[in-house]
Amino acid sequence: MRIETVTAHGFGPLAGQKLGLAPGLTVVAGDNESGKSSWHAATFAALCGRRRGRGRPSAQEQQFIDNHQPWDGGPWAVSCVVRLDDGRCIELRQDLSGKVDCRATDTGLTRDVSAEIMVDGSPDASAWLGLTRAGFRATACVGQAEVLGVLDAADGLQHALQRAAATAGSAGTAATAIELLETCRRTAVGRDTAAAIRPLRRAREAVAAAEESVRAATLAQADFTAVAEQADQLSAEADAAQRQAHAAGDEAAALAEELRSAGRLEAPAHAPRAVASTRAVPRSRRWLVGGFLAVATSLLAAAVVVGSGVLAAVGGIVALVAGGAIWGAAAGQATTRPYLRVAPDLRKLQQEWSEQHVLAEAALRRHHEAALRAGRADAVRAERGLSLPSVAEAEERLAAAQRELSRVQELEETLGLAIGFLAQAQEQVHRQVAPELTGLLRAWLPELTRGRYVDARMDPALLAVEVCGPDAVFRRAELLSHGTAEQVYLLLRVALATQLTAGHDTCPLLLDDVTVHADPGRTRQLLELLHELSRDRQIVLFAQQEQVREWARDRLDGEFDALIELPAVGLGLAGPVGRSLVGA
Amino acid sequence: MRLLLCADLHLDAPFTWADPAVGRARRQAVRDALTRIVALAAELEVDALCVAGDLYEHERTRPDTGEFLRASFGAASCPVLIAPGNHDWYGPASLYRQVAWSPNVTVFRADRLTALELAPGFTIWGAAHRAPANTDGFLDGFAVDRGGVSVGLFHGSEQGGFAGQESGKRAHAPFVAEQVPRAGLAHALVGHFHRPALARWHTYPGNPEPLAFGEEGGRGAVLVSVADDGAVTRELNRVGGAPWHDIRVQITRADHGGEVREQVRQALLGLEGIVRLTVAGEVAPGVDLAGLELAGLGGHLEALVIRPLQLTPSYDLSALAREATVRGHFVRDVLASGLSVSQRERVLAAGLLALDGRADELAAS
Repeated sequence: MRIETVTAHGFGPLAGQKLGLAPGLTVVAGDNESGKSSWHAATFAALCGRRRGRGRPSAQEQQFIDNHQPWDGGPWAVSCVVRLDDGRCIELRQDLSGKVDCRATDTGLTRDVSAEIMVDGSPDASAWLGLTRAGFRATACVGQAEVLGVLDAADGLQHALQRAAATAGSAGTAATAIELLETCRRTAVGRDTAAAIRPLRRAREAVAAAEESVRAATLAQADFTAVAEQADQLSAEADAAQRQAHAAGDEAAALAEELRSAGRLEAPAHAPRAVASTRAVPRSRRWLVGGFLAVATSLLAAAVVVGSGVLAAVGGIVALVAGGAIWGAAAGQATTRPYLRVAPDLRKLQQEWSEQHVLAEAALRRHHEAALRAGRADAVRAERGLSLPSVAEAEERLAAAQRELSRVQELEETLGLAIGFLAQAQEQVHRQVAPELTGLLRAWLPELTRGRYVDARMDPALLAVEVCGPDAVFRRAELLSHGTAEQVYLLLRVALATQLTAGHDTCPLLLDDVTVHADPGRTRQLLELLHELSRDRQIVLFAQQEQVREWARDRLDGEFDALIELPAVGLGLAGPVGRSLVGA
Repeated sequence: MRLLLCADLHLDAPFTWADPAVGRARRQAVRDALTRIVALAAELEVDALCVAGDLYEHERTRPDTGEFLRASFGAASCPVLIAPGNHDWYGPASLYRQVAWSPNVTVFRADRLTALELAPGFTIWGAAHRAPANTDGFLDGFAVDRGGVSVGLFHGSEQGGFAGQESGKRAHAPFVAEQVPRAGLAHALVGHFHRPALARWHTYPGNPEPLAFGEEGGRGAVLVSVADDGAVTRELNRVGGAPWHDIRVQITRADHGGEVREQVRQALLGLEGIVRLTVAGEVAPGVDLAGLELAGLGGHLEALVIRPLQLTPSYDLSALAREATVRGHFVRDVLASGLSVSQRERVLAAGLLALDGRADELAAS
């Protein structure tokens, strides 16, 4: 790709001015305030446009807006005409304020080709170079600060190469990125060892603790349920025993009634023990029984002591039997102890009656024991219920702990994969780039350094450059003189631009005052190098040094190269700047 | 006859999507829903309140759950008929055995349909799960043995609509709708599926108070009116408390955290109740995700559950993939890898953020 013209319809101090560029090396010379930096920025903007997105602009975009909006308040627009390597001539128009009227037109076919290079809502010609806006800025636009940075930092050249290889210079190096990811893995994930204290270990421990809590809560719940079940069972047993006691008592009462009906009640030789009632005996019946017993006792006493006769004795027995029967009917068990004596033919009945009393007594005992145990179990249930942990809450805590563990594990996986992919990509690119860069250096170095350095090599892992002279001793490029280091750096930038745009259009270079800090000798060397390099790609050099103008007047021919001398902006010149052809 | 049907309250269930504080509030909300159901039964003057299982979760019952149920149903002004389900199965340690129910409460205890004549000529046939799993279909081999109108009440899985209901459910006490009329039942009042279904031969009321997101929407207690000829009409009554919302805020483009926060704030405006928030989409690579604070936006809500951010830096991947750089290789390699879509997104974001020197943001995402 070669840029033929750039038109600033409205851009900073520029309004309605056009810049014609040569296909080889164009030196755009001007003093301070001549608009060099504006033309440099306008050229970039005309090629790449601006991202068209909603929301507030980024800090870098805001700075661009502040620096380059038209001073006269008119429409903010630039355009350019470029010729692509396939021969097509394209006019790019960039409406920088509304970002609406942006298009790329094939001037030969008068066809809109914006779709080919539409990026973030506006046409970006760097797509034809295989770059992004940021990548183009970093690859094709070289400023004095970058050159100084390379020269001043101990590993500036190597770092710059790594950055270029990693992100076309628009962001950090792959090595730095990998180190950042490793750091993130150490701090935000950590190791999974017993002594580790980072999130992964903490998350695992939290899950283990939460699992234990769920186990404990589940066991406690099961225990509580078992206690409740036991209390329930004991209560049921007590009820059953009570029912049995009632049944036996009722049976005994029925037998007593039979005995009474037979009129042959006597106190048995071994009378059954009284069975305490589990039913509440109505008070009225207790009084009735007491009354009968009192009458019976009186009559019997009268018969025995006073000798009042058979009638009194019979009356006493009847009263006694009636009292016993009422008691049996009321409670099944007497609170008093009726001693009954039966005739021999009723002994079997009496025996059954006695057995029922024993059964009732045993059932009552079981009832008491079961009721006691049920009461204790109820007390235990109530006590455990007070401190019963919530299974649901334990499960919720476990779920939260598992979510956190999953998050950390996912992060670990992500970081591991990212590190792996980055390392693999870095190795691939470095292995690809290193021979290319070395080859270019070997081809140019002897001529540029007039034989002081004759060979170069590069460590593919680190992109560390070393050069050697005729003595065959290799030295790190950063340790060379500034002049040589500058040349090496520019060579490598060109090589990188070639490499990074391989398979796409040839990438032009826009250099802004890269010679401003060089002494006259180094300046001349750089200019010669750029002139040589411009045989293969378009180079636009913005410069303010008089030495550069003189060199350009002396060295640039009018067919392939050009010198454009900018007037001071303050003179208010408008219209086409044109192209000052030197040596035509 | 007018019957109020509810099911699947799942008292004491865990809410594993929430923290325990929210879970506690939700469990109380479920209890409140039961209280409202009992009140609704009185208001509608129904002839019986029918509970089709999964009233509570046996393994998680709290010490006072039994007393709560006893008191709640004891306060009902009508008979309460309960058919235990697979979560509240009737067993030796079942609450159903331990609670001293008031006389108006009937718990069906057999694992086969048994009759309870609610009124002359109107019989409810209920059954209980006696185990947490492997309960056979209650309608298998069953036939009504008397005249009048008979209605079934049980917890089971209708197989015809099974595919449309909650996935992952085991077929507990399976049946097909056609078995209902074949058995001589006018209708089946059933529980198990949490999504309401008012079908021709059966009615699932759904769980009245949601237990999980995705269960929001019309559900509650169903008033089932059964005519003398067995014809059934139904009316769904909402008894749930606070509304649930599962919202996704799709960030189309944000250049700083404030824009993300504002879009979320707008989405939460006017909402109340329980909100689960998913924030997804693209943000400018410079957005500080680590410092993004969203929890404070839910102060007016009963609960705001924020899922892990699904925000990715809005890199132009197709443009980056064209680069002959490490970054370009990285993007191409990851895109061409066999990773899942979400893995690819995460790995790309990690690598590109790291190349931009912002890997520290990964810990927050």
